[in-house]
Amino acid sequence: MTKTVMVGKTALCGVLCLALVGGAHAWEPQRNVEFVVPYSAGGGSDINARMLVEAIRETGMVNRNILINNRPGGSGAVGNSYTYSKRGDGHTITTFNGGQMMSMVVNDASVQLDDLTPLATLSLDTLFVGVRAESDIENLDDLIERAEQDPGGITVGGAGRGGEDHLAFAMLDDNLGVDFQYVPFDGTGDVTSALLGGHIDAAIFKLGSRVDQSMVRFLATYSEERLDAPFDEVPTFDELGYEGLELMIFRGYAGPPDMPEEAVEFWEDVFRAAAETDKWTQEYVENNGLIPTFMGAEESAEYYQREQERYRALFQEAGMID
Amino acid sequence: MDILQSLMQGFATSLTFSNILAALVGAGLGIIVGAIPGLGSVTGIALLLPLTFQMDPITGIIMLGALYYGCMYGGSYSAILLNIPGDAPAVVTSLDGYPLSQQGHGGKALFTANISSFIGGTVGIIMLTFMGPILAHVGLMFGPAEVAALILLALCSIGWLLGDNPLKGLISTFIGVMLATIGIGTAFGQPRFTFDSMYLLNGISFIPLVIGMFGFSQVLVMMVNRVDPSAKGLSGRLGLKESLLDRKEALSILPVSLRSGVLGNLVGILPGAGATTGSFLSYVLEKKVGRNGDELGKGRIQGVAASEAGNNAAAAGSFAPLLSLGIPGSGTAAVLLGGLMMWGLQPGPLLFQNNPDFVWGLISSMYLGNVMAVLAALAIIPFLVKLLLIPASIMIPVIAVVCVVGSYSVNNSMFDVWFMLGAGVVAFFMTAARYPIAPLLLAFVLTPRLETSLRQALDISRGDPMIFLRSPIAATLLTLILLFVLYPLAKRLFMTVRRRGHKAAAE
Repeated sequence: MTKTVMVGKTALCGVLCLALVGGAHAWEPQRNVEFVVPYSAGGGSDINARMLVEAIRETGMVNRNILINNRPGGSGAVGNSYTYSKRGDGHTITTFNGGQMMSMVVNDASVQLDDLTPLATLSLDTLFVGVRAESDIENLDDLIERAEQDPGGITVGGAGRGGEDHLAFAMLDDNLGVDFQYVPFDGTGDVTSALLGGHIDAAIFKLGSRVDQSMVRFLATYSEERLDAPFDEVPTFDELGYEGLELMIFRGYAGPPDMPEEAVEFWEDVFRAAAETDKWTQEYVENNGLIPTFMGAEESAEYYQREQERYRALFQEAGMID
Repeated sequence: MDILQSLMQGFATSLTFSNILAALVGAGLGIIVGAIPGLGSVTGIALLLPLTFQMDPITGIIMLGALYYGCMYGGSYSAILLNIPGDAPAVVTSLDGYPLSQQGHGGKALFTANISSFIGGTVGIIMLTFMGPILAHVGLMFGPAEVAALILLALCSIGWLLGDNPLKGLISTFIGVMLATIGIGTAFGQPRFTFDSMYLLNGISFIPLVIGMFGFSQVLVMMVNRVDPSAKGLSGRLGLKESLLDRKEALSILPVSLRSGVLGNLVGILPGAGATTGSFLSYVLEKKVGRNGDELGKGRIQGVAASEAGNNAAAAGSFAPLLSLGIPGSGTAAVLLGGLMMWGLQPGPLLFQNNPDFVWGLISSMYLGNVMAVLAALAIIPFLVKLLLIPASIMIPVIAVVCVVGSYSVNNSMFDVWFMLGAGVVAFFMTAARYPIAPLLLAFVLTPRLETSLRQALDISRGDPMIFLRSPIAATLLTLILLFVLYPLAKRLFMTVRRRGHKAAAE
């Protein structure tokens, strides 16, 4: 008899507790949350997701486990399709970044931006064009002058074809009024090796790849405004008098199509709180040299839409897509 | 002496109780991760990395370094015992390792793999310690043209592995080349032969291919032949005592390991060449200059030694550009680079000046990790060889399960599992028709690198092939290839001429 009462009391307690915690939100995860990473373990998106999970844990806002699920393949298409298959589920979230959206555009993938529900954007990356530190190319004008003397003979390396670096190159080629030659490499490491070894003349680098300025001289940045130290000496293209050379690569998150509105609100709040933790701002954003930002679900959706149209136009101009 | 002093200081930092414990745990985990087909050092380090953020950076990097070493040791186990290479370099190890274990010398093969890994790794670390920055700058001299020539040399030397029938070997090589062209190539950015499947967009994954072609086809062979490994009368010969090498054998693998260590280390430093090229070129070198070179491939410990020493030294070599230039030389190094940034360290030329404690702690931890890995590995050999005594009726389903789980775990994808099963059936028929499988896999690994580098070189020269002759390094490598290809022809011609001469003289 006493036992039953005890059990009853405990159960009541539990219900009350749940009600108290859940009071803030109309929606709460009822089971473990799946965090899809459409790239392999150890890559940029994977580290991003794992750090975010740590930051979310610090906020204490999600009382269930968040499990990372790496679904690499198809330049993100396999993971995106997986997320898409969870239509209407509030327990599936995925990393969503600029490069991922570019490959959707370039590869004409079956799952597009419209098929996912943007949730939030927490950080931005941008790019540079740089030369070897010992190079006699001192500034952007020197590089343009070289290209004028040898049209199409100045080689610019970057990571991959149809990705962020290639897009940045296409902007360079379109807007500076001279022709360059793009040389794609497998990763930023290979680009740096080739540049330092003098095999290519210039290269595109991401801010987040943290290339050392003692080895590479950055001529200009694709950011909208001047960056913070240690990159505060690098001029933007705009300052140098070249317009239309701005490119910020977003790092955001999305859910499956038709995610319940309450779930979208819940995740938006969780991401906002996680973005304010020390874990996130210092250990992730600062250590990776990224630019902190916060855009909610609606703002992100609009931003991604705009960026998608811009990517499409740029890749069309570069002849990468029809 | 500056270096020695710094190294001693490094040891002073790294040799604490907690660090040694971290190295031991890392090495043990690494051996397990490496021995499981489908899990490699990249995955292992990626999974352990977040846990190490709580630790002191030096303890963290020691644990990760030891895990990396452990993986290198573990990768050879499944290659030797089950003919399932855990990673690409282990394909070369299986060439001699598996025949050895079939002949009842599995213990000796494992022991050789460990000892030569240790020697090769140590040679690599010593070179890294004393010449790291210099070597890293030498590596920079290898641009796309030079790397293309080097990979072409490796591809052409597959000819030495072709076995009894060169034509069948060549056919197998070209199947590998063709499989490698599936997917989006970096060179053109266009999907090729993907049949509109998103699973083929990034190409065929190596792990399901290798597990199918070696492991699952092995299952089929065992079922068809009904060979019971335990019935081969091996039981008496599988203790620890039988696994140890005798004096003569030990002496015979020492020069092999040293040679391969130096070569593997140099290859490991080059951008984008990788451990597979390192272990493969070491094997080829051994086949050419070794005393019993011709017998390699039939189950010789020298073959195992060359491959293992080569790939461990290459692993050490890939740290040189990471530490002195901040450029990762391998996938694993790239993940470690992520780790360095998380700890707030800026990799690059200034790392040696700004964080000498960390750099020398890391280098000394490699010695420590290597010692821990060899000790842990030696302790488990006696248990491992007992695997060979398991009856086929149990072994066949176990290997089949390992194959399925291993291929699923790479991308969490059922497509890979189906692909693995298909590859296994194809390989089974190829083996039955005496087409060698190893050339196919090596060609598969090397071709994308060749294509990328070739395309880059031609992009740089605007389509002018003279870029390969203008570079002294590339020209030398190409001349070597020409000599290797022409040598057998010239030899045959010479022999015919001489025989005719003899005949003429006799008449």
